[in-house]
Amino acid sequence: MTDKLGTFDGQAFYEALDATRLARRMNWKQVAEASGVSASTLTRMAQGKRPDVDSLAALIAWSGLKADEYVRTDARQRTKAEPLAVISTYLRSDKHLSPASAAALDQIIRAAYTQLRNRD
Amino acid sequence: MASARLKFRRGFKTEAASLAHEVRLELELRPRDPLDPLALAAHLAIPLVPLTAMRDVAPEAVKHFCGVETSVFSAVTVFAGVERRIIYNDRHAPTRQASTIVHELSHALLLHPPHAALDAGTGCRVWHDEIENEANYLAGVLLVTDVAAVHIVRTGMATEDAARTYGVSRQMITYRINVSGARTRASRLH
Repeated sequence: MTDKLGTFDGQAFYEALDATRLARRMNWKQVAEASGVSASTLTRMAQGKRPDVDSLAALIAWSGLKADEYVRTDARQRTKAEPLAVISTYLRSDKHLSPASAAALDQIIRAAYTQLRNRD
Repeated sequence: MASARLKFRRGFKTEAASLAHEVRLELELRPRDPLDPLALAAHLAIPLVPLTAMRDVAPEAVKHFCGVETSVFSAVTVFAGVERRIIYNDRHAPTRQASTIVHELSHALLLHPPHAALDAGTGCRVWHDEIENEANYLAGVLLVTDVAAVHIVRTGMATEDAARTYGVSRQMITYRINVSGARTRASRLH
């Protein structure tokens, strides 16, 4: 089988959607409502999965972004953002943590963040 | 376990019910079917990492949460950019792991904005009541739907049997029967 002529850069598209969202002062929930795209589709896109064609069309209609700008015809290395000083999380733990537990948690979060950044 | 009397923002419970219904349909589940947390995580493409798998990269932390303070840490979703993974405490009881994982996935489905876990000044944990309560509620609806709760009551299923069927704790079954109003609804069906 021959290689495809181009691939869709889903991550760049999602980042552009995020920038559009911020510019319009919206949260992701409002984006889901405005575009009609499901929460699970948006979550999968954030994880690097491609949306189905109808969801992509809906997001393009909502954002005004041009899909062809996210078609890659060459192998392009993505530059990594600088590591963050404060890492974003959702956390499920006791409300009140001892200093030792807080330090342990900090170690887990930083290690997980490093693994995620260095994944590619 | 979250109180049944918690106040949510207007329309939240309807939103949660609709979201749970939509996601369960995507997983091809009927309302009375149990939900597999691993299947939901795979569906959302969110990797699950057991705490004990982090022992090479965070040895003291794993030793601490597996030895000294075994119950304080349940899970954390860590973001790098928009991508995330969930680290969960695999030393907890399977039913606790199940509700923990679905709680974290509920944050994702509710598209909650993530935040710093610890306050930079005090080192204390940052707590947002509203989003925690919302994730708790949605996790409950995902694991044991209102239809399932009514079915448990109508058939007189023992709490232990219901807990085993749905892979949750007995407290979760009791909580879901209470907050769904299953007893009232079941009595109206006779």
